This record gives sequence, structure tokens and C-alpha cells, in this order.
Amino acid sequence: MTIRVTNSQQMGQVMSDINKNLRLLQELQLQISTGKRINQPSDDPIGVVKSVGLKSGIAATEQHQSNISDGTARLNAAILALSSTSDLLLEIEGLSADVVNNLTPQTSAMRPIVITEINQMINEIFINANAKYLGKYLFGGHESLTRPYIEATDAYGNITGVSRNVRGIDDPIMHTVAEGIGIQINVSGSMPFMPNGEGGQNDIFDSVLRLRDALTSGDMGAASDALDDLRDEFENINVAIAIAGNRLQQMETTESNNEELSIFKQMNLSDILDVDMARAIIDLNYQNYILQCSLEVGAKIIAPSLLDFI
Amino acid sequence: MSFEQLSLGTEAMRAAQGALGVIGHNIANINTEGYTRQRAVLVTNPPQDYSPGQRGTGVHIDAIKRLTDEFTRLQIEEENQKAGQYEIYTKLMEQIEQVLNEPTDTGLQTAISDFFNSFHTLANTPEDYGARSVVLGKAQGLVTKLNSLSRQMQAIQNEVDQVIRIKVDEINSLTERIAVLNDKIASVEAGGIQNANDLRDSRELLVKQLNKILDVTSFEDENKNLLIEAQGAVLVAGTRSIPLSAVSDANGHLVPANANSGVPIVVTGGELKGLLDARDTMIGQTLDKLDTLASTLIEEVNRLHTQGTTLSGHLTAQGDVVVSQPAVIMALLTDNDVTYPVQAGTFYITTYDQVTGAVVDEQAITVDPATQSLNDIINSVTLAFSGTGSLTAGLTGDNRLQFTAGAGCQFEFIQDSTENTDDSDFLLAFGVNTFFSGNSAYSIALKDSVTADPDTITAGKSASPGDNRNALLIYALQNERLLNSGTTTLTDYYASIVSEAGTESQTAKRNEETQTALMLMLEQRMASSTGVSLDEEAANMLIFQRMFQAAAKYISAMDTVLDTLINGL
Repeated sequence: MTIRVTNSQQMGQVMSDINKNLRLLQELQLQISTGKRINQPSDDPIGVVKSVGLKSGIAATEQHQSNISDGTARLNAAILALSSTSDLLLEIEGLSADVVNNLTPQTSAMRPIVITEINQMINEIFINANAKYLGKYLFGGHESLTRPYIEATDAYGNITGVSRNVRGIDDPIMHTVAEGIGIQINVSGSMPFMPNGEGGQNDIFDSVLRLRDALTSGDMGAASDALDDLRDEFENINVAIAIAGNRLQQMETTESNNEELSIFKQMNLSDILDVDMARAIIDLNYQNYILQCSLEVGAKIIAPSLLDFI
Repeated sequence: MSFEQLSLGTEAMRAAQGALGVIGHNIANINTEGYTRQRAVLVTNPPQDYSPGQRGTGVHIDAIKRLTDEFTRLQIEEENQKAGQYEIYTKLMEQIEQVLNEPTDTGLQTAISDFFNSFHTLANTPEDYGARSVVLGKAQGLVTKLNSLSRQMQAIQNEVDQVIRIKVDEINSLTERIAVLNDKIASVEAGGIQNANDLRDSRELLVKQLNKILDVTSFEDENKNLLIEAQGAVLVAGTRSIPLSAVSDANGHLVPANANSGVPIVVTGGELKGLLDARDTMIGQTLDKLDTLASTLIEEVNRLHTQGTTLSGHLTAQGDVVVSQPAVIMALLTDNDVTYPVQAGTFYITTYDQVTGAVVDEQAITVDPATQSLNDIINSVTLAFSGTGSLTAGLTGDNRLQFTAGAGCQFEFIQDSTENTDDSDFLLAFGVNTFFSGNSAYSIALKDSVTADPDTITAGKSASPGDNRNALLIYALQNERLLNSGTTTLTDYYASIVSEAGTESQTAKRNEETQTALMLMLEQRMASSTGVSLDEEAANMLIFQRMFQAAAKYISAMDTVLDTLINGL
């Protein structure tokens, strides 16, 4: 039996082919206009799963970077306060060493001025110990809204004693800098200033106040003892600066690692989601060409009929 | 020689005219859906005995036949079920994909990431109102996203219900018309002389349309009636149709059922199958998984949240779980009251002086759900703090747990001296000091007290304002494998929901494409055998036109012959 070819069959075939070509063209057009290879989960279910993971990884890294920048700022502020304290200790030592070691009439006359200066510097050290960053006490530990160091003053406003608020002062504050990695972004509040409590070993305020009082009373023996202690305190505070500096460096290393990691993730995400433009445009042109061919062929096939010739 | 040649010519003309009529009918119906081309079957008239032999007596139209292709037609009916099923299923899968809205930067994954990351923003500055409002904003974003995912999925289910109702009406209309046609075809063909060609075309088209909606089987009985069944349920018997109706199933969704008995019919194909599969299986599963995701999120975040401390202390703390039977031992409370069960353990409360922040009283309350009721716990809390009078526990008017600080006091749910916290899930179970309320993607919301006072977000593990430890713990939840018995993180779980929907949709699209190609092939084959070819009709038209002319000429010639015979002699 010969195969009949009917008009509706021809028309059906032509329409089906043209529709198919149009649909492929539309898919390519969507890819090019959105720039995305995947526009819905069914375009590539596995790719979408990967993209969800990568995106949440990228968002996590962004948060880590923001944690690092907050932590870096606070560590820098703490180092600034500690360095300033370290400088002040050096100055106090220099000023008073002259007075203690060279007891000449000249230096005796200088004594009241030196004492005034030392008082000034004690105040500055006290301010450093209560330093704030964005309204929060840097050396208060978890008690960030309460002054960690409390002073007692005499009638002239000179500091006569300094005590600490024990609650929460040595609590570490942690920031997450990479998945599962936390770095302490504060310096323990007692450690640089009075690690062993009031009057204990390495109590900066105790030492400088004893030095000032000895100079005031002229007890050069006690002054010399206090000066020795002060040198220990200087060591101690520099250790604190070194610890903070170490943490800062750790954060900087992590920051640049995070950045690289984030770039890799971005690239990976782009590989998965983004369309290869050159390829897509070539495909589009080719598909367009096929569509034109199918239209022309359709027009040629459908048009003629026996009726035209009888 | 007689006049019979004249009648032979007349009959030939009549036959040619009849055949031309059929050709006209074919041409007129070239684009009519379901039309099967027809042919006039010409048969020679019975011959006459004559000397020297039999003599032909011309032609007549014996029948007008449909040139149908039963085999292909049955195949189309069969495949049309699948075509209908895949087509509608694919559309619904696409809708699910649109609701999930991935991959974008506004999907649920972004909301989850933003929410957890905001807890580290809080950890960076637990003292600040700003960080707390960021947490609230991001949490609200997550809650809204979960709510809308759940609502949109349910909206698709409701839409499916509407469509099922419409499809059931369509089935009833189709079966009714088939029953009417059964009657007509039977009466036309009763004598065995006439073929009800066009009526049969109509009936076959209706069966094809019916098959697209529902898988039915049909066969013609000896009375030319088409009997139609769907998995044993009779839809058309003789000249009678049995209507269907849409009835609610156990989940409150509509299913097709016998209108009289109310018994649901078994659906194994057609659009109804696609609708039911999408609604009950795919969307149902996706909704269940979203609920699991939301419930796990609520449980884990709330558990940690109940174990933390606020910025400014509680003056009062209310639960958001309404307990209908506070006197019943807690182990027997049903899910309607308590989603997250109470364990045996201890929870702690410390009261502080509002002004100095000094500890007034701290108490450990042991909880044993197997022997104690909520009322028992309330009594033991009040008794424990009766010495200082710094805290009382009770029930609100609508039976929610409530703790109230005494005059000049505030409290936290920790033991100040040891920093111990609730290990009994008691606070979690009754929604005290929690972050979220609700227990599903549909019902998840921010706890009222948290939105009213962001200071009650628990960032710390102690009464110090700079303590960020609890915020860090909540932040770390995003990397913890909380689901599928400790193998999957929240984000991964969500990714699996998206990939399942994507894979299902991809498969559905491929099935639909294959089915469309198959249907096209069958329709083409059908068109090849039963469709009208204009060229063929034109050729036939020429033949019958010439036949008519020749027959007329023949009559004229016979007339001349007779004229010679009658007048010329």
C-alpha cells in the first residue's frame, strides 16, 4: 500500500517542527537575556544544589569578613591604648629616674614639676585602662558597659587608688573568622593593668602611685623599688601588646585566605550558573537559521496543490 | 433495444452526483477535528440475462464508508491518557519551581544565611539596639519566606482542587453526550443499511477527549452502544451515563467519585492522575519537608535561646504555648499542646536587683515529666522563691505559663554562680524565653515579646551586656547537621527540597516531550490514513465530473438513437 500524505498531516508536521524550533530559540534567548544557564531548578537540579551550597558559603564568608573587620578595629583600638600606656610608663620612668638617681639641688627643685607631670600621666594611663571603642569599654570583658577601673581621688582631683570591676573583666570575646574558627578580639581586662588584683604583682596603678607618693615624700629608697616594679609592668604591658598583635596578624591572614576562598567560590558559582555567552550566541544564530529554513520549506511544501493546475 | 439505456445513464449521473457530494463533504471537513474521510462505494447494478450473455445495467452507490484506522485510533486513545497526565503534571511542577524561586538571591537559602549571619552581627555588638533590630529584620524575612512558601504551595493544591471540580464536570458532560450519541447511532444503524459516519466521528472524538482527562476503556456491544468504564467504574452503559462528583478525601482535598454512591474512583491516567500526583505526592512531600525544616529550625534556635540571657533582664516572661490541661502530667500532654516534649532535667532562674544588678536569689528547679504536671512546676518555682519573694510563676488567663519578677527585681533563666541553664527543654516546650513561635512552615512566627522588646533576644550566657556566647552558638547552628539523623544541615536540606522538585520537573518535562512526539507520530499516522487529501479529492472530483458529463452525453446519444428509431422510420 502506498503511504498517503494528506494536507493536515503536512500542516501538522510543519507546525510541530516550527514550534520545536521556536521553543529552542526561546530557551537560548532566555539564557542570553538573563545571562544564566540555569533559570529554574529543572534546568540542572544538581547545579542548583551546588549553587545553593556555594551561595550560603559566600554569604558565610562575607559575614566572616565583617566579623574580622569589627575585631580588627577593636584589637587596633586596644593596641593603641596599650601602646600609649607603654609610652607613658617609659616617660614616667625617664622623668623619675633622673630625680631618683641624680639627687642634686637642681633636680630637687624639679621634683614638684615632675610629680605634677606624673599625676598627669597617671590620669592618662587610667583613661587608657577605661578606653572605649564605639561606646564599649575595651578592657571590661563581658561587662562592656561598666567602667572596668574605678579610681579614688583626693581633694585636688589626684588619683589615690584604682580598683577593678572583677565581674566579667577577663572574659574572652570571640568572633568567628572562618567556619568553626573563633579568634579572641579583646585583650583580657586585668592582664595589662592589674593581673593579680589590686596591689598584687604587676599592678600598674599601684606601682606608679607608690612612685609618685615616694617622690612626694622624698623616700628615694621606696621610689627606687617602685621604679624597679615599673620596669616589670612595662614588660607585662608589652607582652599584652604582643598577644593582641598576634591575634591581629592571625585575623589578617584569615582575611586574605577568606578572600581567596570567596573568589574561588564565586568563580565556581559563575561556572555553574552563568551562560557561556559566545557559545550561546553562536547557538542562537544557528537555531535562528534552522527556524528560517523550516519556515521557508514549510511555505514551499504547503502552497502547491493539484487544484492550482486543473 | 429499449428505454433502459436512458435509466442506466440517469443512474450513472445520480451515482456521479452522489460521489461528488461525498467529495464535497470531505473537502468541507478538511480541517474538522475528528473527521474521518468518507468514500462513496460504487457497485455495479445486478446484470440482466440476455442473449448472447449477461448485460450490465449500470452503477449505484452501495454505501458511504468511513476510511478509518481502528488500530491507530485505539493507540491514540491509550496514549492520550498519558499525554494529558504528563502535560498537566509538568505545568504544576513548573509552578512549584516558580514558588521555590531558585536559583536567585531572594530564595529561602538567602533568608536562612541572612538570619544566621545576623546572629554574628549581634555577637559583634550584643550591647547595641542596632544589631538586635538587624536580627529581628532578618528573622522576619526568614519567617515571611517560610510562611509564603507554605501558603503558595497550599494555594497550588487548592487550585488543583478547583481544576478537579472542572474536570469532573467535563467528564460528566462528555459521558452524557456519548450516551446520547449511543442512542442516535443505534437507531441510525438499526436496519444495517446506513452507516452513522459523522455520528461515529463525533463519538470517537468525545472518547478521545474523555481519555485525556481520565483513563477509560471502551467497547461496542452488539447494539452499537459504546460501554465506557474507568477501572471497573461504569461511566456510560447503553444510553445512560453515570455522573461523577468531586468529594473531599481525608486531607480535605477533592477526589473524583461516583456521584450516587460517593465511592472514589481509581484514577490511573489522564489529567486527573497528573493533578492528583502533583497535589498529593509532590506538593504534599514538599510541604512536609518545608515543615520539617521549619520545625527543626524552631526547635534548635529556641532551645539555645531559652538557655541564654537577655540584655536587660526579664520583668515578666510569658509562654506562647496554650496548655489546655495544666494539671495533667507533662509526659501525657498531646502534640496539640506541646510540640517539643519536656525531658527530665533541671532549669534555673536567678533574680537580680533591678538597680544594682546584684544577685537576689538563684534556684534550680528539677523537672520530671513522668510524674509532674505543669501546675506542679509552677508551685515548686513559687515555693523556691518564696524566701526572697523575688519571683512568682503562674498561668495567664488563657493558660499560658508566666513568670513574674517581684518588686524591684528582674530575672534570667540561668544559675548565675555556675552559668548552668535549662537542660530539660521545659522552657522550650512551653515557649518561655524562646525566639520563634509556631511549629511548621505555615505557623512559624517571631515571638511577640521578642518583637516588642529586642533586648529580650538572648545573646549572652551571663548577666553581662557584652557577653556574646549564646549569639555565637545560635550563629553556629547553620553549620550543624541537624536533620536526617544528624547528616544534613538546614541549607543542605533545603537544597535537597529544591533538587527533588527540579529533578521531578525535569523528568516530567522529558516525559511530556517523549509523549508529545509519540502523539504527533500517531496523529500523523491517523492523518495519513483518515485525513482528507485535497489532491486526491481533486483527482476524484475530475473523474466523477467527467463521469457525469459522459453519462449525460450517453443519454443524449441514446436520445438520438431513439429519435432515429421512433421518428426516422
